Amino acid sequence: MLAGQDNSSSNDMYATISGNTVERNDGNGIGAFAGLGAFFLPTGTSNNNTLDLEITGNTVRDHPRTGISVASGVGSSDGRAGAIANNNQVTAKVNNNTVEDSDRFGIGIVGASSGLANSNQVSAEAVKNRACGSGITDIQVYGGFPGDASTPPVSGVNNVAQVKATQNTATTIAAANGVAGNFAFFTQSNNVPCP
Amino acid sequence: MQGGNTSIFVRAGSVPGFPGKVKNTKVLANLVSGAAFQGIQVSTRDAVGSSIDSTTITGNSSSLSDIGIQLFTNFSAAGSNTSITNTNVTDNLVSGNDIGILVNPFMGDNNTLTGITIARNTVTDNNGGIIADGGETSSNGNLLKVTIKDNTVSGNSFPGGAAGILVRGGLLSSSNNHVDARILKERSDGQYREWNYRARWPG
Repeated sequence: MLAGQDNSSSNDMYATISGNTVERNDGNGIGAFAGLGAFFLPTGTSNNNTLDLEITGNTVRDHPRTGISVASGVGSSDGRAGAIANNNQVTAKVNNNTVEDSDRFGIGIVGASSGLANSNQVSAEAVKNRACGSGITDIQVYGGFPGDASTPPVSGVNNVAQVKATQNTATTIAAANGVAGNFAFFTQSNNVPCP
Repeated sequence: MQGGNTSIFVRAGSVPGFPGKVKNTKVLANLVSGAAFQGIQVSTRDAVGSSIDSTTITGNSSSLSDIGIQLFTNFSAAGSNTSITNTNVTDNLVSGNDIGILVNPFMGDNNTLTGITIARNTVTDNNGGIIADGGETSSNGNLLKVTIKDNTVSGNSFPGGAAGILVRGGLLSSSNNHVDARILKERSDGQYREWNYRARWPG
């Protein structure tokens, strides 16, 4: 799901993804992003997009990146200049999903994930999911993604992820601000480790 | 039907700028292959006020074209304020195309695509499987409501992008579009999940 991609702004999108089985795709299992500055274009600005999202009751297995990935702003996937995503907003319910064997995160929720991105916000709840067997963490929250071997860090500030995680089955759950100047507000309760 | 630019098309308007209204068209059980553009095309086409309503595309096989089945509005920015409504794309085999099934207000502004259902299709071995865009290529202020359910989408490959099912609000300088998308799978008891979900539409 992408509310605005390649120099596309002020789009409003409402999406429900439920009851699907998603397996062995190359990349993320399910991806949801409000604004992507540029992908096909060399540069572009995608600002002020909104994505209101429910990802519920899906089975997501065996992906080389993140099982369910939710991000509000993505400047670009390679951090290039002139690809900008600012002031995008995601409201998400990620509930009752089964997510297994993701190489990165089982469920990843971030304010901004890579490239030039400022002041993006995601407000999410993750309830009653089963996220197990993930390569890094089963549930991960970042204000601004700090980058890894395949994805550059976000370059920007004031990106916010506000997430409540309750009643999930997940062994590793983590939240961090990530890149300085970005913020994660995370609360959790009644989560239990994977068997 | 084999080859050509578009094997089957349903068009409302004519260039330059003569609007038309088309209703109750059925495209049933055709075998189309190898079109340079679309195997099956439904478009309002560059005529302000054109509309296409109640189209059924069922039981066809569309393969080896640029786009297997496409619902779109315009060829240029000259078209706007057109509508494609109540369209069912069901039980088709769509394979080996660059894009399998594509729904997009393409250029032009303020178009409406609502009541679009893409169901029970087999969409396989395309580069992109099923794609629905709120607006593409400087197409602004559109409304898209689409339900995608019970399709078999497999073996599609788009390195670096989304190969299976992709819904976008706006692509390539397209802004102020509004999209309501539901991607569902039927439960074993034949009922669809109800999520008490209400979209907030402007106005």
